[in-house]
Amino acid sequence: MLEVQGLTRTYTEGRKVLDNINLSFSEGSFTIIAGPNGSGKTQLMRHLNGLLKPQSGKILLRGRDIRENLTETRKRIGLVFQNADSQIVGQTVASDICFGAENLKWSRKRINEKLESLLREFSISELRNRRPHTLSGGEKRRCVLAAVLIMEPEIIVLDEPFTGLDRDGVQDVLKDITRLHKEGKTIILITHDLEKSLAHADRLVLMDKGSVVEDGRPADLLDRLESAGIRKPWGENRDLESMTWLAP
Amino acid sequence: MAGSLMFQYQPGSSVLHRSDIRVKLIIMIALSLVLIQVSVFRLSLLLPFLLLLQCSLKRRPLPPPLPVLFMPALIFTGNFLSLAAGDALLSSALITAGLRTVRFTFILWMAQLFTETSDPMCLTPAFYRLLKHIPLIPAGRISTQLGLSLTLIPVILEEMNEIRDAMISRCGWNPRSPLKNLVHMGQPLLNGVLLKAEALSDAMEARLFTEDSTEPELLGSSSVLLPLLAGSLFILILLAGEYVLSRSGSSSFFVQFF
Amino acid sequence: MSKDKIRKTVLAAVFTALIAASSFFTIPVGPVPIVLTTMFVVLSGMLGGPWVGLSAVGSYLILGIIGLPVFAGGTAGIAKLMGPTGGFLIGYLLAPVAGGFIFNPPGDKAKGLKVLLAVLGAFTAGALIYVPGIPWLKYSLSMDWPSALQAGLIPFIPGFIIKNAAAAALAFALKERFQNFLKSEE
Repeated sequence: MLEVQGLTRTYTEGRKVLDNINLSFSEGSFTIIAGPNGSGKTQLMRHLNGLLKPQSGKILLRGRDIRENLTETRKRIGLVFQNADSQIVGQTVASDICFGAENLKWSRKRINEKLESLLREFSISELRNRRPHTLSGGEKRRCVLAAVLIMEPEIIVLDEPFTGLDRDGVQDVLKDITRLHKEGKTIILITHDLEKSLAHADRLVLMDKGSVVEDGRPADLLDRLESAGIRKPWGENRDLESMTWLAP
Repeated sequence: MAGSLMFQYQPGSSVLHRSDIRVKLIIMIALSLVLIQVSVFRLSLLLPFLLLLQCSLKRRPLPPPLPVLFMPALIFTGNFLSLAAGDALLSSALITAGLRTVRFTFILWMAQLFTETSDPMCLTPAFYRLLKHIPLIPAGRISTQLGLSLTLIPVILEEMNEIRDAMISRCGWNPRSPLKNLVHMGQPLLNGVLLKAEALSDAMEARLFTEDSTEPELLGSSSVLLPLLAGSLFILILLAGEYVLSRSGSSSFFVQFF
Repeated sequence: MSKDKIRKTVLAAVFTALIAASSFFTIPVGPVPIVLTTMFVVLSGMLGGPWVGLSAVGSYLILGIIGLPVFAGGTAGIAKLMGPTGGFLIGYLLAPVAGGFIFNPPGDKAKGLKVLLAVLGAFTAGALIYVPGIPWLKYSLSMDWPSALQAGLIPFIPGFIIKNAAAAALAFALKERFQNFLKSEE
């Protein structure tokens, strides 16, 4: 259970990026946080594993402030950033995936075992010795996802994972996300691209100008999307189940 | 363009390929230091050694890039002219200049052998293992930094070309004001670089980057003992041979040169 | 590891990549193409501070020594470092330190003074590259002083002026953003 309580952040010039955010994410849930550019989604995400220190308010993981033990927090809450290129630190896919586990000082044997199982899980075994720079967009995104998963987080936060991907790329990434959700991970997906993923979520949070404007079940919020600055997926009276790019 | 970085490494399974990178590096540096003082003896002893290594690759040597071919000529002329202008005899100026040119070629040759047989991917772990024995040096940080820059070079190169092309296509490239061109190009480039650094350091922090992580793995099986023995044996023979020759009073032409 | 240290490590790595990438990249200035390596060497110190700059340039030299073709014209290796132009590479180490120390304005200095420091920093740093470079050239090719200057300094003067003026302008414009990054408020 991850709880955000009264989180506020103000820029030096006085503008509020985050304005008294109160949210809680229950275990095994799949939440989509949507909002126009500049609504504070990414800043919120940076607070969730302690990259940013709350100016006021706090974030609790199972009742304990996440800042008490940042290592533990970052192990449990994995972040997948928006730009895949700039979060790849290894020179090969395999060495990039191992990076997090090496920092946790696991033994080489344990790291290699986990690496093998992740490569199989994501079906990227044949990419293991490739240079990340030469991968396609979807492959990069999955490599980054695997790299976060090696630390065995319970909660996975993804920031705009579909940006710049072609259809196959979107499908592959979406498949992985839904699979992880089925395995019991808590998923928090930040996107303004509802059409590709909304069908899988059990909760939708809409943000605008730094505050939460709507919070509820996706089906109930469909009609209020446009007023929150999000484009409603195309089609008259379109049902929720169709809002996915995964083939049925 | 990005491919040109990796152009020089040629995968293979020769003795040199299988030798440990650290040992190759140390031997290469040691031999370069030995060659600071040139002599006919040292150079002629090194020649079969290098030839042997080249043959062990069992492939045709790569043609060197064009500018490299000019360098020996430049070094020879420069040395010869200045020596001849000084008080040296014409013949000795010729020989010294020649020896220095050969030295340069040999060092270049060694560097080529090293790059051709060393996978850059293994370089940073190898470097880490080399540095961690030296006290006070943050080996983990240095090797991470090297690894990061290796990953970033092709990315940044691409960005540079894109910015230049974007400028040219907006007619922003004025041949008469190079200063303005540079500033206009540097601004987006450095801004982009800063954004990249921001994203990268956040990602590294989120993935708990630390200096004393589990040691990086050396890829493949690399042999240490054989190349180390061969290298030190060679240098030993060289120094011993030189000592014997100078004691036996053979002509200084052979052993002594600048 | 602390946020501060991570940021410095990453910034140094990014500058190393920038310096190395620039050796593959030429831009035309007048009739001859120039390589921007020295400009980024100077900027790494002016924007990142002396120590980030020094470690960026140090890593660049290490990459070159272990054989990646990152020195001018796609050459590499210890041979290059010990060759006639090796002194310039040693000078690369001095430039960012000087640039970083001279152009290090705490926020509230007058604008005119900042401009002055930027120009002074860039040109001092740029000039320091030649300080070990030219004697080394003279020694290793056994030239006399006039011909060493003829070969190692005079042809580069126009490029030197343009690149360092650009470095000063860029450092002045971007210093604050880089400082904020390194200050790393949470």
